[in-house]
Amino acid sequence: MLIADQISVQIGSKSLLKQVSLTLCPGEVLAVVGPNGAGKSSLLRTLSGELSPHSGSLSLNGRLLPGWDAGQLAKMRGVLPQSSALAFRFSVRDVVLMGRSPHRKTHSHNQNLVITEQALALTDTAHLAGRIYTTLSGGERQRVQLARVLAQIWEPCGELQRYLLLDEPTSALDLAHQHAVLAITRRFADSQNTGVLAILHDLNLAALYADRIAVLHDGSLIVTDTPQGVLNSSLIQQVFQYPVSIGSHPLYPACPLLIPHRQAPPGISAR
Amino acid sequence: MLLGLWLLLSLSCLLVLGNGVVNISPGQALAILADSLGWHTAWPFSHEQQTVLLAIRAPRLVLGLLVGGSLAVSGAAMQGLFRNPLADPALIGISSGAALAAVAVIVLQNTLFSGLAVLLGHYLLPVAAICGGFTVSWLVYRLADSGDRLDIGSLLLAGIAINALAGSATGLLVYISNDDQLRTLTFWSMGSLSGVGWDSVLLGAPFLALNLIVLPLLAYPLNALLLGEAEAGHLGFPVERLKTAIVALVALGVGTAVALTGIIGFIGLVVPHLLRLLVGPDHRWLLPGSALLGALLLLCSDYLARTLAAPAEVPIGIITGVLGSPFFLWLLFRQKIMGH
Repeated sequence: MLIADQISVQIGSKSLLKQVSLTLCPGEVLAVVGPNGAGKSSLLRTLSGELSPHSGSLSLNGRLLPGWDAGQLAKMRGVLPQSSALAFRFSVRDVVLMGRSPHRKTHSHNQNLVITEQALALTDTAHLAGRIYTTLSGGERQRVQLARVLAQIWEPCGELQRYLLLDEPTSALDLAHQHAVLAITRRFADSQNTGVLAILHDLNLAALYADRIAVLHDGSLIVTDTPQGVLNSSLIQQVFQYPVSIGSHPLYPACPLLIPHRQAPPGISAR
Repeated sequence: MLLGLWLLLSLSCLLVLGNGVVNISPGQALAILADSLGWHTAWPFSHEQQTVLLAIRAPRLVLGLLVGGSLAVSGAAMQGLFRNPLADPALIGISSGAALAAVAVIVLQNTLFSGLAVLLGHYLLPVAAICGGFTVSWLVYRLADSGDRLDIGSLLLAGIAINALAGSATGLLVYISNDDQLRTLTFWSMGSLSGVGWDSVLLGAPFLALNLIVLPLLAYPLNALLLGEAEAGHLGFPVERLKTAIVALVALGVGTAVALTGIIGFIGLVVPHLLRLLVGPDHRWLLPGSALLGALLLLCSDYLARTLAAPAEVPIGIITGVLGSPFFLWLLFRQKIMGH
């Protein structure tokens, strides 16, 4: 399990996270939602070790985070950033192959290439393999980066559970690819018993694919519960400061569906 | 590709060893080398040819190869570290620091540094240059180091500022120098391999070789660094140690090169660039390829430098500049046209 216990993060005098406690179990998909500036990315950057909490503790598979060595950590935790700065003309295949670099000593180059091709196929990017990464569209890049991160934690790491941390994996994607990416991560979580934490903006997407949803507001964790427990109009209204109604999905009655109200045009009062 | 570069380089070595005021055919060159290893061949050569090759051209060739390779590998590593193909080894202040110290020694040799001059003899200039280079690089490094992490953006800005400062101080010293000193330091600041003996090779080889051997071993982490620092960290690479190691190795290689041969521009910038066009950005090929192509380019430049106006020598920086600047401009305009 990946456990955050009462973590707080501060930069200067600004408090980014306030005593956040969170558990990510193997095999579950946990969506993190919240308004802009709520601390979602700070949470992910803390869980991935980029930011160090000034109080509280993080543990992974039963050991406190500073106790793991970086190479070992890379084999059981993949992190997908919001956007990548890569500006050099690597081929897509080479970018995904970089995900295999933690395994370059334990696997042959050919084994790593095979896994690279499998990850490309899984993310529907196999047809891009020979293209130059910098010539891809934003959505294509995002899927290639996902393939890279999946390739990184592709196979079981001994007895140790694996985790995937995704920072807005669907932000640049069209409707079909948003669902494709979440379906891929859902299947990866189920079949590989991997814990997935994904920051999402679309609450309906979260409700459709996540086991649990964590709601962050102003650096604090308001609630972590099933989609049915989280998607109620008063909670959403309070956190996002926007009026919504909650219905249920016409195909999956158990799945709540969030329906935003129309905002009145400025200067005209709503009926 | 790498094999082709190897072959080209070996061939050029033989040709360069042979050509000059005293002509030696490639066969004779091989025979002389074999002879000095105790392996006698039937190929005839004169005593004069043997002396010229072993005492003058061979050390010059060896140092040229090491310096050219080192400058180019350092350039490739800096461009990876800064994630910017226009970065240059000079960015971390090593060249400007070395230049300042060298100019100070040349101009103030008879006044301020007379005691040191007696003590170190003709090693004073290289020793001063390497000390100056390291001091300035260290300063730039410290300015960019915020305690727990090295900020690459600050490293760039600190480098620019400190380079400018060292440049002004150098300018001041140049301003107060006399005509003789001015001529010496002009030659030094444009680089030259003339008068290189085995003593310089032995002095510089360990540092240059360290740079040439260790930087190419960092190919995987440098590739990951191109994805971003955080991403490289998530892939399990020790990013902070890596950045420090790259800066230190570049300072070591370029510092030694500058101390022994003066400032030779453009190799560090142009060679990695050219190779990226040929073999792509993957450091596994880029770093060894840069070493070979850098060595080749400096070899050819040095050959032109000593034959174009023989028996006089043209400073090598002029040759690399003439070959390098148009290429650099072409790159800039190409980037401008492509919009980034």
